[in-house]
Amino acid sequence: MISIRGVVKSYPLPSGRCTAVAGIDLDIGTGEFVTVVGRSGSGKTTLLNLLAGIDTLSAGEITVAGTPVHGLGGSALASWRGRTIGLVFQFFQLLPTLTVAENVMLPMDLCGTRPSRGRRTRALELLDRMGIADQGGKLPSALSGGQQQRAAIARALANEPPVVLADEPTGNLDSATGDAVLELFRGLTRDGTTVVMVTHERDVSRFATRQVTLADGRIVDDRPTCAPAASGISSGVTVFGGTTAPEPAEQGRVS
Amino acid sequence: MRWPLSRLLLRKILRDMWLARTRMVMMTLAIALSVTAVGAFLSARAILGREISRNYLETRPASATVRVPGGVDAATLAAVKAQPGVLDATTRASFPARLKIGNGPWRMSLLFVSHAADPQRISRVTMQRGAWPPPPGGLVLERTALAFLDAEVGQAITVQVPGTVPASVTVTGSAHDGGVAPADQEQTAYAYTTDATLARLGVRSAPDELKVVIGDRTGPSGSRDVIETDVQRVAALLRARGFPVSRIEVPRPLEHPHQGQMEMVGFTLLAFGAAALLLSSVLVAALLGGLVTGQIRQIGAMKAVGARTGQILALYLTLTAILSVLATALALPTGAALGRALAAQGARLLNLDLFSLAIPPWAYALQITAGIFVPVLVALMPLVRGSRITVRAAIDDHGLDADAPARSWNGRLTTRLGGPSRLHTLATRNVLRRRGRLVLNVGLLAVAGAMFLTGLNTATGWNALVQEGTAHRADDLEIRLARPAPAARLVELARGVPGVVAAEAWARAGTTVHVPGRVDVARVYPDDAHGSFTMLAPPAATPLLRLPVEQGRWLRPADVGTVVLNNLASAQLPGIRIGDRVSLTVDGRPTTWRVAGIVSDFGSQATAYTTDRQYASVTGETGQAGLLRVVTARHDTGARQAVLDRIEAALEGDGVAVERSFRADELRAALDGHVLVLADALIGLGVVMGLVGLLGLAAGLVTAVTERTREFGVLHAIGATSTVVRGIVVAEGGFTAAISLPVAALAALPLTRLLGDFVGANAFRQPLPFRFNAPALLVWSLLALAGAALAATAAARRASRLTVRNALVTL
Repeated sequence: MISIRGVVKSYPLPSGRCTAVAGIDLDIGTGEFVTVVGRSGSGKTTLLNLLAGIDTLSAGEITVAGTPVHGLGGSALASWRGRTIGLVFQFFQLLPTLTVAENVMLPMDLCGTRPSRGRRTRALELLDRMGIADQGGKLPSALSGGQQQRAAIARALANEPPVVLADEPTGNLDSATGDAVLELFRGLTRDGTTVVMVTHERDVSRFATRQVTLADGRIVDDRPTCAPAASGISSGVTVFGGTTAPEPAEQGRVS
Repeated sequence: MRWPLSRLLLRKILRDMWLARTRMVMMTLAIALSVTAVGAFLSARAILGREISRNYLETRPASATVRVPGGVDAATLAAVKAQPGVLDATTRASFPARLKIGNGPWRMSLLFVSHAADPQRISRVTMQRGAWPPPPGGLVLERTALAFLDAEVGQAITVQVPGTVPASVTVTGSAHDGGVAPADQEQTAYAYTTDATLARLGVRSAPDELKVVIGDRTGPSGSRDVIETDVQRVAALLRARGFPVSRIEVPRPLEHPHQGQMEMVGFTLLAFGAAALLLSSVLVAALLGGLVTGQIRQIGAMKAVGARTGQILALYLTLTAILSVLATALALPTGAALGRALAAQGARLLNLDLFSLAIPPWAYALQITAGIFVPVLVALMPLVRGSRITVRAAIDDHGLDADAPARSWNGRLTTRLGGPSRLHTLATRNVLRRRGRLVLNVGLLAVAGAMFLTGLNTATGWNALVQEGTAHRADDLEIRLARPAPAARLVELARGVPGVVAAEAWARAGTTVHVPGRVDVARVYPDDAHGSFTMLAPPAATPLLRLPVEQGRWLRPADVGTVVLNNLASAQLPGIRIGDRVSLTVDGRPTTWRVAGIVSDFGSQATAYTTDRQYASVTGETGQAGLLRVVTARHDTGARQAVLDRIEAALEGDGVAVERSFRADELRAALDGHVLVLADALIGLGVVMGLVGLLGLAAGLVTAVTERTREFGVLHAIGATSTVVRGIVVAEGGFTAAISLPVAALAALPLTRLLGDFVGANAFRQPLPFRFNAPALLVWSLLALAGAALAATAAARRASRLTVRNALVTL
């Protein structure tokens, strides 16, 4: 599904060039749940950005779902990303003036992937799978952090992308909600979705199938984890149903 | 191609607009204000441009007036009418006269005389009260003359034509003459009567003006060349039949005497309006740029889920279009209403009847185009820049780090700048931190200030022109004689009058540019003022006239055959240079002169000055004068009028006929009447520009606060109270305004010069004196600083309300 060959990424800085990724080769198969771990500055986020086509390569090649990402640019890249990659961020990045359901409909709108009549149904369906169907009509600021992250995941899945890339998706969540998110990712892989997740905070080996460790822009460790078999997305509903995510009143409103 | 904006994104725009409604209102207001200004000037100009023509053409103006001393007989008139190119012809007469009601003051007048049987197809007036022709002993006054003379229809009026005794006639009606300016503006009452009334006034002379309309089947000709050629043929016919032709008068064809000034005023106002629109568009662009910056992470998120640059651009362009359509919709009716009010005001000043207040569709179309497309076009650049941001740059934007590098000029400057407290240091450095934003805010305010100052400076320069124009003349009274009289006797008579300090008698003669082989053509209008050309011959060392020399030099006692031209005279001789020879017909004789200088002479019609000695040697009229200029001991209106009455009585006693006379204050009133309109309009425009600028600053500060939401969050997080945050923002506003002040003052200097040159050259053939209106600078400084404080307060309130968490997690 994902093939990374000789990838280098360096940035010019006033003090000289800084190499964030210093030659990485990696293959990720369909349905894998790969966590990329490492200390701050090890090159995890850069690698994820390169996979999503958010950042450009200094050297090397990346092929995702058969498409050479390094060969795309401009609108083609945007369209490809919208259809192929589902992105999940640490700070959710939901559009504050669109309702939760509208946020989920947005990628379908932008890429024109479904007939416009079916988009709301699809969005509500996804939200239902995330356990927040009743929140669809609300603005993101009315939701708790965990609920917002679930909405963000629903949005990432809107166009049924074969690959989901997540950058510290649990970084802004309490541990129970974070676990629910991870459980959800694991469920996605059962349907054949490939998940690559960057994290640095804790051991997530019980959810992922493989853990790649980076240090100074290189892979220093790459091994399978002992994660139990994926329980499927449907179980996510159960997980989220029992979540103890703080309510909006506790967290304050996000504007 | 599919419109890249879905209903979902449209919904997002509308909600974004609601969230940023304060800024949206400001942007809409800024555009609406300037489009209103553009619309008002455009509409007023369109209405007046159409109506001035219509009013003038309604009078069926003669293309030319041929002066035939002694008049022509009916057979010759018929022969003239049969000439090729002549559409119509008639004979008329006009006399300078004086009018007074009861014991009121004498007022200058011009009597237009027709035969009672004249069909009034040429140079006609529209009767408003009474009937045409007036009965013998009756007189019709131009409508603006009624108020000027404080006269009423039915009242008796005393009329004196030079060389006759005053006689009483009756005002039997009032009329509108679309070819003359209002009486108070020219300080002249226009009156219309028949030869029967003229006979009662003691004038027994044949009508000496042959008025002809030149043209073809399509109507009267608009070409000076055609008119001059055809009318020279008429002159040849008249001469062949034994009628002497003294000169031909051809005013600007089909053009009202004030048409040029009206168009120039309209153009200047429109230019200011366009500048205001551009300014508000830049402001909108800046604000949208700010809005986009504030939504950088949202753009990143949208791009991350598949949005293309074109979709993002369409999103913000739609927002801009919504604003500009709204603003234009607001501005159209207000602009039209204001334009109509302006046109009505202009019509009063130009003595026009507005037959229609209709605003032509093209004026609306232009407003709509300008109002919608100019802001969108100007906003395009920041929007494209914002939409093209990469996902990574967008996601990485934390609102704290988009600063100029420390090694840049303002980076170095920033770190050196301090303030009386840490708070002020922060505010000062914040202002300088974002070079682009600083340049924009200062620029907007400075441009607005510069326009405000330019408007007021030009108005001051305009008034100074009038002031200087009258200051160059030391006389209090000017008395023009109907016929030349011995100069020495005139001076003796005047000096014998109590209250007279000094008096000089100058030779004065109407003149025209002479081209050998043809009858001289003057450019004067029937009002005998606009386009007239006079020769004046004061003593070389006259203390009564000190005109600023623009080129060459003033007259010297030893000069032989030299003239000095004023600006308007040099304009009648295109391409004339110092040292050139000019042929002028003076007193009916062709004469040749060398041009020694060109002088600025605001307030006079085209004049060629020479010395009394030269005038006598060239014309052979030794010791004769046609003009008396008098200095009185007291300079108030009452004293001047009393002296004038005594001098006129003395002259009359000596058999000297006065053609017209006026006090210096009447001249001043006439000049003010010509300039105050534009001066007031410029002040009004300056205020509009100022308002747009202040709106810009207010909106700019709100944007700055929004852009730095996270920074304020950090400040709150490290213990800054709301008061501290408010203080920072208000100080930033004040500092921005303070920087803009010297920039505005400096920018106003060349702008004032430019506008003064343009307006002066077009209106009076001379640049306006350069004036810097210091009180205006003070007013603008106070306005800008107070406006900045006010604008900053709104932004500051917003900043101080942000909670730490809101500020830090905001998307």
